[in-house]
Amino acid sequence: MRQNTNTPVYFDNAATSFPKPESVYRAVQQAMRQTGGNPGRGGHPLAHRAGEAVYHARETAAGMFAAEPEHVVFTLNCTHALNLAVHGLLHQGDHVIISNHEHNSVARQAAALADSGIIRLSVANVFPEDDRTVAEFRRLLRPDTRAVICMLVSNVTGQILPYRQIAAVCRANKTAFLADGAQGCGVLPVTLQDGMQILCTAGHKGMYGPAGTGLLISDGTLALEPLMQGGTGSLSASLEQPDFLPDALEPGTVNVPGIAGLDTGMQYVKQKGTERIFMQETALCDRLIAGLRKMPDAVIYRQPGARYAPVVSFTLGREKPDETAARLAAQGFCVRAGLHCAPLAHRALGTPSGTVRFSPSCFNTEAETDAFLRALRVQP
Amino acid sequence: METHFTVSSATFAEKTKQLLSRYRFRFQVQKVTGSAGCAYQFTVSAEPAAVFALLTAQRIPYQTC
Repeated sequence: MRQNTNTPVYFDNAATSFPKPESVYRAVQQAMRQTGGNPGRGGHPLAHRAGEAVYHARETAAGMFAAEPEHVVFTLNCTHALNLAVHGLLHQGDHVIISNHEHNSVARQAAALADSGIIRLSVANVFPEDDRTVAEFRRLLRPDTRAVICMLVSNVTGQILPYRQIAAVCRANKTAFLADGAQGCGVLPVTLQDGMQILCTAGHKGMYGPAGTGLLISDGTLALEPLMQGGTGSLSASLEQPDFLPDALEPGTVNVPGIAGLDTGMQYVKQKGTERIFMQETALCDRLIAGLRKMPDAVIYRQPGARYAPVVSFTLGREKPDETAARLAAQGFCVRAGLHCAPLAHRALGTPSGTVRFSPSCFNTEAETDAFLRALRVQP
Repeated sequence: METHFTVSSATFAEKTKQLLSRYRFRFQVQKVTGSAGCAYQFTVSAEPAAVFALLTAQRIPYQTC
């Protein structure tokens, strides 16, 4: 139940989740007020306390994603994690496959590497039917394909990509599979057992951590060259970056309050259960879709045969998505409109002006969704 | 009998602390500066063979003192 009725109703959780569980706010504040020290940078009690807090978060993430704690790397966000993975793995001459729904966090990196002649890039079309999508990835695989880099869930339409099958295809070809879990983690039961070698995700979306947190989770089989060098508190006499995780990819002081908040957010998700969160949010999406279907000018970007996570993209007749979002904002509703940093997906959808994206969290309610639909019907 | 070893990273130091606690070893840990730089020096009240077998089995990168 919302305490403050003047607070805008927030349906932009695919960008970042809000509100966070109360336990997350408390954990961040406690870390700032009491943890204090810099993990791994001293022998005093506050440094130890910080080290224990960060390690606890590693254990929580490791438990959630079936990894070893030392293979959990804390990052600023999912884009940072993906940059560590992509630039750390790829070398001159590698062939890489991405999907045509990728967020710019992957697509811009891939395009830049291809434009500069470092990699050769193929783009796989995503179809409503999983079998066709998997066949497309299989068709594009070559003996020299170093990596498939692919999102678990489209941040535009919410379509769930067949990531387990794609992982199996990669495994058969001895190709690395790097997964962008920004929209899938927290609502799908994703673990490394699904077959990816690297899973990157945001901490501040479905895992209810603070902004400025992300994760790179490795199965430990791929050596990633560091993107940055710096202090790690380990092997300090050497001018070389340590080659072991997480130190290799975690130079500089980590975001202890953010990580403490993320730890608590992950515990919240674990306690509530991704299946329950998925069903609760999907019910709100279904409610929205049922309402949109009664509006003759609404176009909903979902296709029969596809599976969807709780994200809905739509447009209303000739009203531009930005105008729809502005109209909703004036009535107290927060949604994102536009391209959602995923131009490839909009090329595929044929939506050059983008869409309006409705993305609930487990804190949203049916009443809020009904009010959102009423606000949509109020024409200027 | 005591066993001494160092672990260079904070993450592995925490993992080692948990591991030793789980197996009910009595130990102390201290942050020290050695020839390789900062490290965590463990002193465990147990036979080296038992301790090092555990560390090796759990893939803890350690250095003997």
